[in-house]
Amino acid sequence: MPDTGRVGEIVEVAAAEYLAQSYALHAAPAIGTFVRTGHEGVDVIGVVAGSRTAGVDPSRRPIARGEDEDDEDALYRHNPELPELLRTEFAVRLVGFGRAGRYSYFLPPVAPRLHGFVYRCLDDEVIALTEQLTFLRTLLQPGLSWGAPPDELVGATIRAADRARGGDRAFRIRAGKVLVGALLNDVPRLEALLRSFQQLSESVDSSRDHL
Amino acid sequence: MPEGVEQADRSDLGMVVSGSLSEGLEVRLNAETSVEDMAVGRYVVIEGAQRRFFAMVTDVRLGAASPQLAASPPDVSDPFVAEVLTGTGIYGTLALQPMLTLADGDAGPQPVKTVPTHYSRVREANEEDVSLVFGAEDETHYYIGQPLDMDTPVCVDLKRLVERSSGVFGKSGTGKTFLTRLLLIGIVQREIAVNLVFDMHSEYGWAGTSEGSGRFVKGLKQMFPARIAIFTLDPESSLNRGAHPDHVVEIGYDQVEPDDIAMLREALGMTEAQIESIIRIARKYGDNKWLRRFLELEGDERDALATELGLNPGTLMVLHRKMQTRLARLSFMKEQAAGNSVQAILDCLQRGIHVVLEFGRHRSLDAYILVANILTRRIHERYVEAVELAMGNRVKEPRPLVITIEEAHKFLNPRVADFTIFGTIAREMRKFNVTLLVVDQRPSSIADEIMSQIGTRITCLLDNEHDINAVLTGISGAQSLRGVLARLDSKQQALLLGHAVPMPVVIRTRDYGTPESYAAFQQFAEAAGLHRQALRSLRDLYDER
Repeated sequence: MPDTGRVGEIVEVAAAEYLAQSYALHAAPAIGTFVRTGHEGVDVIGVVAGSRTAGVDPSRRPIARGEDEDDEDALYRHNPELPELLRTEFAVRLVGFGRAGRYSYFLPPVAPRLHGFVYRCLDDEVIALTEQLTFLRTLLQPGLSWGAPPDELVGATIRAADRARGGDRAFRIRAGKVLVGALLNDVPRLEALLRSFQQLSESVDSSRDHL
Repeated sequence: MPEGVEQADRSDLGMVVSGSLSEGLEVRLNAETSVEDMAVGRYVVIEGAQRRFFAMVTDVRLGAASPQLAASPPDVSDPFVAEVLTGTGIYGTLALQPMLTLADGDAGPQPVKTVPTHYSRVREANEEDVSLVFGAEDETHYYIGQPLDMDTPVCVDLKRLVERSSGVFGKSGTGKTFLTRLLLIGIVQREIAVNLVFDMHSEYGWAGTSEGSGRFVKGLKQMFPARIAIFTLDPESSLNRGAHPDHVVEIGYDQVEPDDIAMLREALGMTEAQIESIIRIARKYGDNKWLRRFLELEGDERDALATELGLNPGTLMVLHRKMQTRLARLSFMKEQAAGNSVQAILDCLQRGIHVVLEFGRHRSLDAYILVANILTRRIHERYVEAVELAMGNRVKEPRPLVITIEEAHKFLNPRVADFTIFGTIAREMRKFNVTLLVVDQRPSSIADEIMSQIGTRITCLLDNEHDINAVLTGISGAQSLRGVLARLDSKQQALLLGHAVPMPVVIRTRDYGTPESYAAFQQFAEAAGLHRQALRSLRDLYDER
């Protein structure tokens, strides 16, 4: 499969977020990754808020199998049915939508379709998307129960946008200033959040390796 | 640039966020404008929706968007955290006092009657703004210094300056003399008025010392040899200093009137009873002769006089001794004065020659007060006469006269202001073309009534609360100028406010004392002289037709 940046497919949709299944086990995009879906030329933009891997059949919980194995890879080699019994899902919080690079930072009037394909945004798209940062305040609100805590999500999102720029201190400062307004009454929280993206961080996204 | 303000115009400082006309405006500074670059007294421009406002920075404050930021400060040793918080969570604010406003169609800056709208941008004033407000140098506008952080000239309107009395105030050693000298030079150069300077410390006539450097600077006579006459009370001292006095002033006993002595009450430590005695003695012998007659009296005769006038002999004896030791010993006091000094001064003034009266070694206050009062009283009489004549016969009014006095509070304090001639001049002499230029370090000691008549106030550093209050009495927005006044540098900085400037402004005084500065003054004088001559010729031509 050529690298189209496709990372999964929508399996559950709500007004402000959707759940997508990753095409490969354990290959969900990292938290904070910008992804897009949509059809008829309208891109719905979201940020990956977290992922989970569980059994396909909710009534059958996974059990430990590796007591006698040397390492984890051997475990998967000796149990080839596992990828069929397990699935990796990731949650995406919507931040806006747009057409041809012009974005609006509020929820799309119509939710994305089920089974819509989910693509990773290219660096250029990320840069264009994050010229405006008011959506960070939306992300600070609590989301899915199993998603990353809001502060972690915001920190990861800013780090991702910063990596797309190849590291840009002015951008990080700008993002920090947006957060100050929202977190004025919780200075320790603000400070911890600021520290999480004060330097350019390396990518740890495992989904890229699988493509 | 979305959200970013990195590329903002460098002169842009911030925006108006609150305020009122009476209490001034609050301006929130941009993140990239450091409060440390701000200074009270600086001059800024507010771009309102329909008009432009000219304002002065009167205070600089630190603000925090949340009390938590102040109560539990984040770790700002981390430059990133510090930079993020600057301008958002923590920020600087300026307090501004709007002074003037300019709208399309206005002839020039007008007094401010409203405030700019919310979020109006505030920027540093540029040279264009300053010259719009303070005018360029011309026939009446005189370059006296520059704003704190600019090189544009700030000009005072000398015509307005001499229209009312004005004052130069400041602690000792802050440059009062320097500023006064500059003003006098301006008045001489522009021929706005004639000066009579009571030069207590011989600083204005021939040469003065420049505070700090200790070097000698040229006095008026060296700058304008033909237009200054130096009068002296101490010819020896004048000659020692290289000044060649044009006239030696002597005061005859017959010129001393009881009021002149009453003025000296404090300087001589006289009691009410002693003053009363003098008045009675003068009534007996006449205003002209009383002093000579009184000084001639021997012990017995004095006692007889005391009995005759119903005075205490003891009082009279003390009084006699005081007159002997404090007045008669002054070398310029003569039983019969040679020549008429008052007439000589008036002759000079009438011809447009400025008079500087040097006191030489007579630096005591009693000598200064006595002479200044005696001479001024007579000059005042003549001016009143001349102006009344002019009103009646439509002859030319006398030239406006500016009398410069130092230690002015000795003449104008509430206890003596009512009976010194200077009090009268300050109160009403504007009508008679005579005004005062008072130089003083204790403006609080000057009577309120007189202070309120002082139109233009040029103030160097003052740190006494009472003095600051006195200088700011009757000035709108005065409260906000207090901080400015108390924080002037102790050298070469002054706050100008009042009649001769369109709005209060803090200046660095213009350079004076270097060869280049002299050249600058003389150049202007020559150009202005030619211009005046041309105007005069035109007028003559017109009159003759």
